[in-house]
Amino acid sequence: MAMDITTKNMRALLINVLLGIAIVAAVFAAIGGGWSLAKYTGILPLKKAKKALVIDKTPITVEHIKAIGELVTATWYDEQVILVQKLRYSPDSTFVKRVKEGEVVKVIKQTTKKKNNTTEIITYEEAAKVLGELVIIQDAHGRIGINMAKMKPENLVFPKKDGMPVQIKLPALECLDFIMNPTDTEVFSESEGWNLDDLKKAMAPAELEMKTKMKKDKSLFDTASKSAQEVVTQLFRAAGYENVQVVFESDEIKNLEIPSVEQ
Amino acid sequence: MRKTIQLSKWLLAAVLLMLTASGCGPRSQKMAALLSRKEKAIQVIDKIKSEKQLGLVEYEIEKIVKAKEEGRKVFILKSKKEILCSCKAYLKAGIDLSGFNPMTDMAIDPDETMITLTLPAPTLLSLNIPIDEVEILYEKTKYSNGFTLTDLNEILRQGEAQINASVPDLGILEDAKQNARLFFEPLFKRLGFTSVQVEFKENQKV
Repeated sequence: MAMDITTKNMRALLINVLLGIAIVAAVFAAIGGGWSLAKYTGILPLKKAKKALVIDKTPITVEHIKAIGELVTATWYDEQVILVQKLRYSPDSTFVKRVKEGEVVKVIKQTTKKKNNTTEIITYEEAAKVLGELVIIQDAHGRIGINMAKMKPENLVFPKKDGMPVQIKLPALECLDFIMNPTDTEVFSESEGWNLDDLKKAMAPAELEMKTKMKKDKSLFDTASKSAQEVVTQLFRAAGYENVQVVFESDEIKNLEIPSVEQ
Repeated sequence: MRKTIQLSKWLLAAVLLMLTASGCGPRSQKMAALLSRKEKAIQVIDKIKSEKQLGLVEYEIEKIVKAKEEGRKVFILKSKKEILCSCKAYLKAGIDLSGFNPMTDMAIDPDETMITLTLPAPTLLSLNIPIDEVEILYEKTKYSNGFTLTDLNEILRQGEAQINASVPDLGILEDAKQNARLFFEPLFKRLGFTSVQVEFKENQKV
């Protein structure tokens, strides 16, 4: 009888302890669940919506005004994804083994070595740890045309006899503007620690690569030159010259610098 | 004892319900967003596009862009960040000659000494904000991680929008009209006309 009572008391005590733990856990879970519910559904004003970053209205200062005469005859559009990584190099192969998979990149490097008065290029792989990544989607557009201020009097030759064409030699086509504005830039992904200088360094090679593409695109020159010829011919015909001959000083587009390949 | 067990069962059920509801919160929001989101029209842009634009005036402008952000107060700490950037922009205004038909918009008098050009009204042809000419003049952060590149780009985008909105008040379009006259008069006088009149069509609202 005494044994039964002790066993019963022990059982009751154990149940009470377990119930107590369950009740405490339930209370904490309820608080946590309620907090989550309020936060994500906005039922209770516990989470203030993050205000969008808004700039103040500030004045504009006009620094310089310039008269120009630019005939734009073609526009070129392109979009590029720029991936920049911050890497930490280590020549120690054991470092490579310690780093987690997916965070190591193989970088192909070149160096020169002089041997017996000859320069030898040595290629080797080096492992580097990725410390941070920046991914940008960059749109750009180039405006191709003629700077009419470069026209000289000798570029316009009027016919000496009836029936002969008026000859117009237009300056070379050039890239008058290459535009990559903030609205053309989308920061798709960034880890911590990137600043404005990093952004400038990331965009510079992308700009040169796109200008290289423009220079190599023959259809761009064809479209721009054809449009320029149409405009000039129409103007002169409307002014009374039936026979108009339009040529260009060069058959390539200027102002598209291509970087020299470093050895 | 039975009452304790029953109470704890109700409590457990309530906890499970809360957890399920909280777990549904963000997921249900995403589903609603998916269902109600209209598909954006796919924009098609030609890689190369023929243009007929005559740029007549270029303005070089500078704008100071300023932004402040204050975060939530956590206990007594409140995060704050401020930034001042300067950016340069190059605006070009002129005439879109695709709206100009020499056959109908150029009138020559019977003596062939006077010509009248009716040109489209000048518009802003390009706005260029080179990233190399953007500078951060002042940046301060307090209990915060600072401005990310995403924040910086958003600030500059708003600056660009403000520049675009201010074009009618800058005077650039009036200067383009003046320069149009200065451009065409010598050209047509060289072609033999003694008098050159330049007029403009009214702006068409889109």
